[in-house]
Amino acid sequence: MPSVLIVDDEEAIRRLIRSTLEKAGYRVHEAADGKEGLSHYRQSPADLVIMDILMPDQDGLESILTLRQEFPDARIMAITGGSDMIGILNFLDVARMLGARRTLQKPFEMQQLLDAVQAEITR
Amino acid sequence: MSPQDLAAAFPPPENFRSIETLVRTLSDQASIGIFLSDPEGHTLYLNDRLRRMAGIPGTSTPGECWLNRLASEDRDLIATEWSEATGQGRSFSREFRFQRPDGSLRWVMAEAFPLRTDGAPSSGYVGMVRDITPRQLALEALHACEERYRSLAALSPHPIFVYADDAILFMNDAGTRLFNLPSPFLEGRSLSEFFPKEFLQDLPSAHPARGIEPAAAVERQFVRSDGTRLDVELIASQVTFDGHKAVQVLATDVTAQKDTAAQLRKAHKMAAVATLAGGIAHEFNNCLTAIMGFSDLALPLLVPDSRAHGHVQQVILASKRARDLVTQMLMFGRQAEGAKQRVSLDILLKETLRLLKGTLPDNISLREWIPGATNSIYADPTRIHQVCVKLLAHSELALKPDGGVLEVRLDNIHLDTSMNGHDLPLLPGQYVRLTVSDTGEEVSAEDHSHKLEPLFANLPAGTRAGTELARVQQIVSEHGGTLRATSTVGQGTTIEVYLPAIIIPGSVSAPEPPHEGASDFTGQKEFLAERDKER
Repeated sequence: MPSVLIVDDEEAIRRLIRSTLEKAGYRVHEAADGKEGLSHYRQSPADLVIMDILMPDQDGLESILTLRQEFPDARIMAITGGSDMIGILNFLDVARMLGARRTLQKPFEMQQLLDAVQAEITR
Repeated sequence: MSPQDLAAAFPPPENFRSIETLVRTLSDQASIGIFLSDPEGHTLYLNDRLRRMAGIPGTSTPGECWLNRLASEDRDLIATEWSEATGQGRSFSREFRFQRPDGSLRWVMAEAFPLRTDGAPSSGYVGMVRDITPRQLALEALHACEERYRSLAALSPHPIFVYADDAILFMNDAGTRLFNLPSPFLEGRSLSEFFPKEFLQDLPSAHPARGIEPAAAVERQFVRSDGTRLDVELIASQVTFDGHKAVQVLATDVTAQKDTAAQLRKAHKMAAVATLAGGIAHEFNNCLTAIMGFSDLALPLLVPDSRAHGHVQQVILASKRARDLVTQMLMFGRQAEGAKQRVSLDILLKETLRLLKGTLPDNISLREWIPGATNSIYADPTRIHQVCVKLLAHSELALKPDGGVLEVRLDNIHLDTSMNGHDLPLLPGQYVRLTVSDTGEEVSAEDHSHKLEPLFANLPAGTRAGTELARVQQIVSEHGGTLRATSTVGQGTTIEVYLPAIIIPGSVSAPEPPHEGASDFTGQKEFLAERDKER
């Protein structure tokens, strides 16, 4: 059973994604911030990490960078509700540049999430 | 002392010699020059002071005329006036210059009075001469200084003017230009003729000569004769100008500075609002994710077609609408006037269509094909919104009053040199294509050739619709794109807008549509059903 690690500081989002993915047959783990997520992955690497970008302390971009440096093969999907722009780039663009192969802008539909997770895990 | 007292004090004949000694002593010690002359003006006596003033040696004869010591430029005039005065037996008073043997000049003030007793003719003149050279030098220095001031002030690019009471004493060219006043001929004219009373009222001024700190600058507003408003900073100081107490004002046009400051404040405010909006949007999107997501999870748990099922579907629809609104809010909220930014054309277009649906007559059917994964474009969202609105308005107009189908499609397209039938004036690359079609009345062959310039179908030239489409072409061109319009017999008019796409590394593009000629409505049923439900 493939495993997914959700890293998001919003409990409701974590619960929503857990419910959706467990229903689809995935094993789901949770972390409330980037540090906790990295610590969890080091102990038990998941098949996919769903990483929120805007989090307190260590944000998702920094976490993605660190994760890819330590685990070059890690599969990462970045999600965010933020929309700040740096020129024409947004956070998800930067996340892709740092190594997140897939991105989803919140709010997304659960089917979109499922399609993206399946596509990434079976890649 | 009366003559009797004098006679008593100095008994004859010694009194005469004593009076003479007295007078000589007084004369020799006097701080002014003294001379005596006969009724014809010939010099009889000069005191030492006058000799020194005029540079007349002590050995010269008393008959030597002081007129001989005048500076050559003054001699003729003074000599004439002296001659006239003595000839008429009247007083004489004049300023002139002595030229001494060493060539130096002394300015003097000479006054002479006829000696008379009891109305008898003058028996001679007594004159007093004061050395006024220091005063005159000071005056000359002052004039020279004022001349230098005028030259410098006249050439200064800084507006300067001087006034006393209500009169303009001086204004340089920079000043007349700033205040848009008639130049020259300002000097002597009234201040109130050109400046409102409150403009110069209560100006704090300092006296630079007294070592006081310069007065603080004061800001005033001025309206020129052409109606333009100026914000002006004034610094005033007390001066002496042409011998008058006056006020000198340095004016600085700060209109542009204030405008810039205002724009900067506005930009800061907009940046703060954008930051705030971004923060709120982030939280809002998280909330919407939960609302949409849990609604999605709840839907399969409800009986299909039940009221609860329908309610939850509406929650999902409303959440999607809210999602698009947040994106639009951010798009327009962070926009500086005319600035370009990354724009998701699908969101702009959906919002425009949503508003259009409410106004379309029943005999016009709207069909849309707008995938969510269209590439972004780099554009001014306000102007691209105008493009969408004008294209849709044009097609709607073409369908009235008979009705028909209005179709809107958005897709990604890659243009390369091998693309069949493509003669677009665009470089090869990725583009976003917006297609607006209508099944309006067919266009005649001669009108077809007028499709591109200006872009109107069978509308008379100069109509509002024609002007609107010309504006569309202009906006599209300014964004690096192009526009193509075609009309096919039996199928109506199609307008395609091509805009350069932004391709971000790692992003996944939406799939390209099938080539033209294939069924364009396959797969659109879901969209149509969705649209019908909304309606």
